Amino acid sequence: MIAPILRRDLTLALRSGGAWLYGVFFFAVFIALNAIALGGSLNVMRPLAPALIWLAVIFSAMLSFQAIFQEDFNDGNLAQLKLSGVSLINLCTAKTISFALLSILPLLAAVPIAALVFDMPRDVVLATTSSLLLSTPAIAVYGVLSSAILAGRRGGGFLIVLITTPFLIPVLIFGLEAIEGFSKNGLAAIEFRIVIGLSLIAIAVGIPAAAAALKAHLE
Amino acid sequence: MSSLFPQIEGITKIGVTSLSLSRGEKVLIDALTINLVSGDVLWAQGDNGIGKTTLLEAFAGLRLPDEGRISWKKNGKTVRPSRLVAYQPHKSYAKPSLTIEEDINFWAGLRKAKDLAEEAMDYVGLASRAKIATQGLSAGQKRRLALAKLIISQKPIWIMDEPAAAMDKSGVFLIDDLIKKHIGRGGIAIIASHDAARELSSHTRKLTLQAAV
Repeated sequence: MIAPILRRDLTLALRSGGAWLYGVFFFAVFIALNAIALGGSLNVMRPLAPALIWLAVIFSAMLSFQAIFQEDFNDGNLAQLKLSGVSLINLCTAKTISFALLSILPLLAAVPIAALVFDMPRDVVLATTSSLLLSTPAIAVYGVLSSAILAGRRGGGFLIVLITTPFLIPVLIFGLEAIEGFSKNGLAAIEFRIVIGLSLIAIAVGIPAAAAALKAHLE
Repeated sequence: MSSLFPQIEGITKIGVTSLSLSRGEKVLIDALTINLVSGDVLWAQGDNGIGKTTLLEAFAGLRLPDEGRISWKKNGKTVRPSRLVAYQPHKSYAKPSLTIEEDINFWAGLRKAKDLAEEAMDYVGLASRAKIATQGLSAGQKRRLALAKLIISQKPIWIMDEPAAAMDKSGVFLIDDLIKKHIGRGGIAIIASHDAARELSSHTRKLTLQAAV
């Protein structure tokens, strides 16, 4: 029952007039502003580049967290999905996958462009993309969880940031550590395993928690 | 009778015991007790804002009662409401950018009733518009689409919030006909409306909601 929901979400996104690309737009603006703020000197920016790209991804993802369940809650689709007997775990899984595909992967595709701006060496670009890719499940799950908790609440945007920040801090720390580790041990670096572990924990804990939060809203 | 309306197996029951519902501080329903079995129609009438929708949501298991309890039973066994209930809310829940066909096929797919989708569209008079995006539909046509989704749900309990609002004469006739068919095959229908109750079955129960004095 995951595939039909996922397919419908992707169809809706593609017909939304490009709303799913706002995140990429934000990412590009964030990178450009950083380059300007840092004075445009490549020697200053090069060592900071992975951290800036990571921040750009996290902020841009946070922007779209609230929308994950918002519309389905407001237009009554969430209630209908519950009545149709879809398990809420499956629903949250479908939403996690669609968020990863629509809101995070396009950002990863934009990383090489940011790399040009900051003149990053090739293996650092590879390391940054890998650490982001392996953290994608964690970022998406925490987005789904926070959106499920705040579904139907007005002015939830600010609370979304408060709720997700503590969850995303370890992901950010080890995501950046992994980029360091990559220069010595490549993908075998211990930090990459920690990043994968964080993503697995997020899936194991976050999805049932999101389903429970939705259930509480729907009865 | 067409395959759209198969006979409903077994006995379905909704039991409501001293149910109280409120919105904020305001008590909307106080100590309501009612039992409905296969073949019953409950017609809840009342003015706007009196609590009809809140009551229907409770019947659909989408809202926990403040007090009292509601049980959904199939052949004497208590089951989850989602096993028995189909709910047609007042507002259309069709996604504006999907076509009628896509919208109905999605819900039919979740309910493993894809083979019924086309027939249901035809039944409610939308077959010729299958490829139109639902945002281009009139309010009455959106209601018809919701009716089609109610049919394909294949659930024994239909809960309908103002089904006849914005409907033309043939639409009202369609709704009455559908409910009669549904009752005839052993279903339960719960309808909220500000219109006076129409005689849809020999077991029509009328519930009038009034503000407390």
